[in-house]
Amino acid sequence: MTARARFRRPLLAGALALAVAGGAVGLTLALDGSAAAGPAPLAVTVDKHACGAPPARLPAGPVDFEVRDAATTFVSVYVTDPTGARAYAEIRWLGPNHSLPLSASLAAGRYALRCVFSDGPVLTSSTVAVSGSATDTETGYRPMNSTELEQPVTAYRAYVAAALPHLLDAARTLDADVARGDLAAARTDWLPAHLAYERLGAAYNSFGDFDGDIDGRPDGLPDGVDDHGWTGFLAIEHALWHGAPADRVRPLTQKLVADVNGLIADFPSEDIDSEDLPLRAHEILENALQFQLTGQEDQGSGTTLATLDANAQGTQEVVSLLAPLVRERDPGLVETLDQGLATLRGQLAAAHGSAADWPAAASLDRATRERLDGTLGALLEQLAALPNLLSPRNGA
Amino acid sequence: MSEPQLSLGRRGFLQRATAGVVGAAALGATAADTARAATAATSSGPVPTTTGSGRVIAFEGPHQSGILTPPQAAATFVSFDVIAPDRAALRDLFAVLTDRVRRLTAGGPAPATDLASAPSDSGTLGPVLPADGLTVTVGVGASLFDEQRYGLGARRPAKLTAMPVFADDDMAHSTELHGDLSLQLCADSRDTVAHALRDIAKHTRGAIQARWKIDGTHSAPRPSGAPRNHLGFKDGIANPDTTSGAVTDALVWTHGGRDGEPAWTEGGSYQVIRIIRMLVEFWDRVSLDEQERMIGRRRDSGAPLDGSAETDIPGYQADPAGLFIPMDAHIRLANPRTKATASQQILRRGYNYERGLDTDGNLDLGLVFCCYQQDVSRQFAAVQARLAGEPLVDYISPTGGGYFFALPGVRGPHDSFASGLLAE
Repeated sequence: MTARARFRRPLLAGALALAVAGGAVGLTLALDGSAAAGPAPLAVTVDKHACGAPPARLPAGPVDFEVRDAATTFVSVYVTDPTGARAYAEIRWLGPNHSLPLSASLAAGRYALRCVFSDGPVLTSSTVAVSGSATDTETGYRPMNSTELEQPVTAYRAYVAAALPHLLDAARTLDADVARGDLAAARTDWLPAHLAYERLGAAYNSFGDFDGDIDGRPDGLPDGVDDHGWTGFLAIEHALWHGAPADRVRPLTQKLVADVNGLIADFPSEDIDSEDLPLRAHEILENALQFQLTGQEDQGSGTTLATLDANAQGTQEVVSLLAPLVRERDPGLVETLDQGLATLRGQLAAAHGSAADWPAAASLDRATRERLDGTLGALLEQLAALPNLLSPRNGA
Repeated sequence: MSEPQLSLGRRGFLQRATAGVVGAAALGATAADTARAATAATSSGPVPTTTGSGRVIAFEGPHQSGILTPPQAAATFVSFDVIAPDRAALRDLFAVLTDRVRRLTAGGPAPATDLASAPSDSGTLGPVLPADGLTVTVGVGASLFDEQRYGLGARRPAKLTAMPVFADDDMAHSTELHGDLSLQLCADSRDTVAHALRDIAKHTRGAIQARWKIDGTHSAPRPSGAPRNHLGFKDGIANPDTTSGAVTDALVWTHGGRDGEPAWTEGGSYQVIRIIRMLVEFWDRVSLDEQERMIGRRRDSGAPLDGSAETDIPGYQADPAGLFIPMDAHIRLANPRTKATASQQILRRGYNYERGLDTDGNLDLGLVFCCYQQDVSRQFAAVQARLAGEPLVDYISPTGGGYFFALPGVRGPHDSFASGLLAE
């Protein structure tokens, strides 16, 4: 699962490059838009003295600004209501001497542009009064300050800290099975240990190199499943289900225990990027769609659906921690997500049935697979809102 | 539409604005692009091409487009299973399909993306969607009418069944058969077709799940007349006259209340899709004379073997022993041109396909055979029965497909697909 890091979205560090590329694109888009879609955009120039000079009045409906940063620092520009209670549209990162489009579709009401400069100053433009009526207008969202994520992150750390001893216990049980040469017991005890890790869900990115050691996939290794550097749950699974003798498995289970101990020792000092939490709420299950529902990650035990269920549990935990922040901004979304997660887990439980073993993903009948595909796909379309909804918009 | 119980685009198109798009823009723009764009912007220079072919094919009407519409260059046929949990969700599905197809076929600026959403459009066609001759034709399969599903058993089109197995089929292990719902997406360019399918799939997740898919291409005339299939022969020469309302009313469209058809089927049409692989390596080792006698036409000109031009009508009555055109030639069996078989004619709308290799390195080339008709039993199935065992069957291998019923058209801004089927 080391490959998971590639899902990481550019935060501040990457934003500069994006903004520069975006500058070029913005001009092209403005041209296309004016050629095909009506009036030219309203040119607005912002600097440290004024967040532009937008028109005092505008008709309801689509409005397109072309915002130029005439200051010497980067700036985020928002369409807000004058009090800042709601943001309707934004330019995330606008560079000095660059222009970008800012488009919204506004209902009747009072609005303003707000500039949050990267070196601190926050300016609000004069008020824009929008009148008339239009369809498809945006309701806006309450912007979130990054400090609002501190409490969920603290709670999340506590969740992980409380779960890690169970992971260690399960890893030790597995290691003890192998130590006494009881590989049948090891095959039974492997799954609870693996799920204890997969249930942490959101944690992997915060675990640094430990994640690769504890749950790495063989795909990116030079010798694949034969690579001597491959360790962790999936390497142990491959060994246990491909007839490896106990003395070949033991070094792997010993290293697993050592790595989990290392993680426990390290975790209190690991940073968790608070902005990561909403991303993980979405991406744990993107990963599960790619690797678990497909069965791609199966190393022989045929338990990727159990892993998917554990990932859904991890997602439930993160969503529940974020729920207060989400509810303030999109009241119906939490219930939709809860319902989708419950439906997914219900379908997985039905597929599992009362059998001792989980069915392998490849063995699902078509109707069951299609329902799972559809449920997970629809859920992901909804989870995809979280990173944008809970993106810090300090000062907006 | 009511709030779907499943997550049919809860924050989807219905909440979206219609201003120009901000996100999802072309990556990799360079400083030179910037300079060019800036120059163009200030000098009213050439407008970037965003309009595709510029063709807009009307979405609304008594019949769906994509049936009588002359075949566009690119097509994709997709079969879906409907996983919507109940009839209300099924209704939502058709409302969403209607809205997406209406928007996609009209073209125009992609809707703005709101603050809390991923981009409203994939951006693969740029910020302004070209209509590009796009048609999306929606069909329903017999399984949608099964009891225990949506309570639609009594409304099943009279002749709609699952596609039967025909004697020369190779479908025993096929993964490309049947389905609850078919989409035929056609446009003047491939990327427009791909964009439309991606958009529709995104907005219908949780309600339908794709089952199989095949892409086709409408070849250019070589050098003129009907396009050629992968056997090198002109295909689709003898189609019914789609400009004649009398002809299409008699051969293409179903009529509610007639022949046992439920009232809601008025203006629909039975759709047959068959994936027919052509064993081209074998075919290319067969003499031209034998090829032409199997087809019944000259390969170069497309003329029937008793004529000199593609458009010549074969004179079977003057050739009762098959001296010009063998009795078992494909065109003679398919359309004997008798009074008795006149009502069996089908409207073919096939596309060539080309997709990879088989396990022995042979090319997987063939025909996405698609035809429309008023009565699949009287027309396609009757023709297919006559073709059983024809010499050509050694060189082709039907591997998949299905029977569907193309819904009546969407009749106005407040109508939607399947409104008659789902009427209370």
